[in-house]
Amino acid sequence: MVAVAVEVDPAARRLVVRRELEGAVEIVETQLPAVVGAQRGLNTPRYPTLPNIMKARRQPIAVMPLGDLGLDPVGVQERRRLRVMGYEEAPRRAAGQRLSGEPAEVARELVARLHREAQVL
Amino acid sequence: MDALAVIEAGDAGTLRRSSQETIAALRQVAGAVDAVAFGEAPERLADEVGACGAERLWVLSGPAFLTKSPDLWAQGLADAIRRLAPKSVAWPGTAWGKDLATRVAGVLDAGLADDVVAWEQDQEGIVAVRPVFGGKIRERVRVLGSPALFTVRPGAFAVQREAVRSARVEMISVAVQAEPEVRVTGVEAAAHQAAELTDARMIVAGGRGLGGPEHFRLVEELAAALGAAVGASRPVVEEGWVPHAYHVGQTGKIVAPDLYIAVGISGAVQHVAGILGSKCIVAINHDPSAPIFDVADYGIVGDLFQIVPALTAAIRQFKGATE
Repeated sequence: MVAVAVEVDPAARRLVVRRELEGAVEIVETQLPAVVGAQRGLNTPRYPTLPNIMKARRQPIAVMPLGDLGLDPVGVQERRRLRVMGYEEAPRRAAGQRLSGEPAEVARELVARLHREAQVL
Repeated sequence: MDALAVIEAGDAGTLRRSSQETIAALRQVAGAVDAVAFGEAPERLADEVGACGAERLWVLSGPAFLTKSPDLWAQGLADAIRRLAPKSVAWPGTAWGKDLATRVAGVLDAGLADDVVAWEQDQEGIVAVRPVFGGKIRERVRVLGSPALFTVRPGAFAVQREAVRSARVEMISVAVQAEPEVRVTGVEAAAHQAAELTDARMIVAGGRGLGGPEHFRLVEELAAALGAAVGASRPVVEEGWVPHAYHVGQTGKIVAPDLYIAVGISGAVQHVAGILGSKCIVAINHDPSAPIFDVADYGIVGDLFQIVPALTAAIRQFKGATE
C-alpha cells in the first residue's frame, strides 16, 4: 500500500495508514511488521547537515555477494519473471501551433480549433 | 478464454473508464477476453462488460469479498486465476489495481509488467511496452511463465464499445483464509476534485506563473466552465497553494486526458513526463521559450491574467451556443 499518512501504535504493534485512491481516501489497518510505500507529501524530509555529509563519505560500503543472502546466483536467474527485449526512443510530439492576438480573439480562435481541429470540445 | 481483465465497478454498476480500457487493451492481444469482479454484480455491470467486448463476467462472491481487504481479495483472485488458467491477466493501473496486481503476483509467484502503454503479440506471447526514464525511453518486456500479469496505464488504450451484448455472468466461489492481515476500516470521499485526475477527460492545471495562491481561482473557473478536473505543477504544490493530490507529473499523477490546459506552467521535464499521454495539450505562458511549448499542440504566449478569463468566457459562450 502507498501511504499519505501513517499512525503507529508501537505497543499494540499496529499501523493505521491513510492512502489515496482515485476519488477517495482509504483508511487501512495492519499489524507490524508491514511494508509501506510513501507518497510525496507524507512527511517533511530531514536533510543531512554538512558535517554529517562529510562523515557519510568516510563510511565503508559493504558489498554482499548473493550467497551471503542465502541466494544461489543460478537459482535467481531461473526465478526471473521478466525479460527486457529492448529499448526505443519514445515517439516525440509534433511541434504545435502558436496562436496570437488580442486575448478575446485568441480565446475564441482556440475554442474554435479545439472544437474543429482537435475535436476535444 | 485467453485473457482475464480484473475490473472495478464504479457507482451503481457502472464500469470505471480505466477498467473499460483494460478490457480494450487485452482484446488487442488475446482472442477471447473475460472479466472478473468482486462482490455482487448488478445486471448493468454485465451489460457494460459485454459492451466492451468481454464474453463472461466472473464474480468472486462470498463473505470475504463484501468488505474490502487487499490481501484476502488477492488470495481469492489468485485462486480464481489458478482455476480459470488464463494466459494473461491485466488490471487497470489505478491505486486499487496496482495494489491487487502486485499482491497476486506474490501469491502466484508470477511475473508482472507494470504500466503498459502498448503491446503486441508474437509467436512466444506478448511483448509489452512501457515508459521508463520519465517517458523519454520505452522499454519492451516479455513476462516469463504463465500467467503473465500486467497493469495498464489509464488513458493509454482507447475504449472500444460494441452493440449491446451482455456478458454471461458466472459465479465463482474461492477459498480464502479467514483472517485478513490488512483491513480497510474506512473510506472518505476526497475533499477536492483533484482526486479525479487519473480518470478525467479534461484537466486544467496551474503553475507558478499564477504568482500566488489567490490567483489559482482563475484555473478553477476555467475548469468549472469546461467541466474539467484541476491539477497543479510541483512548485505550486510544494509551496502549499493547493493539496498534494493536485500534483501532475512524474512524481505525482500521470494523466492522459483528451484535453490538458497548462496555465503558467513552464514545463519542467518531470511535469511533461506526466502529461505526454494527453490527446491535446494547450499551453498558456508569458515566456515564449518555455519548454511547455515544445509539447503543446496549441501555444498562446501572453499574459495569462488576461487570456485565461477570456478563455473562460469563450468556453461559456461556446457551451451556451451548443446546448
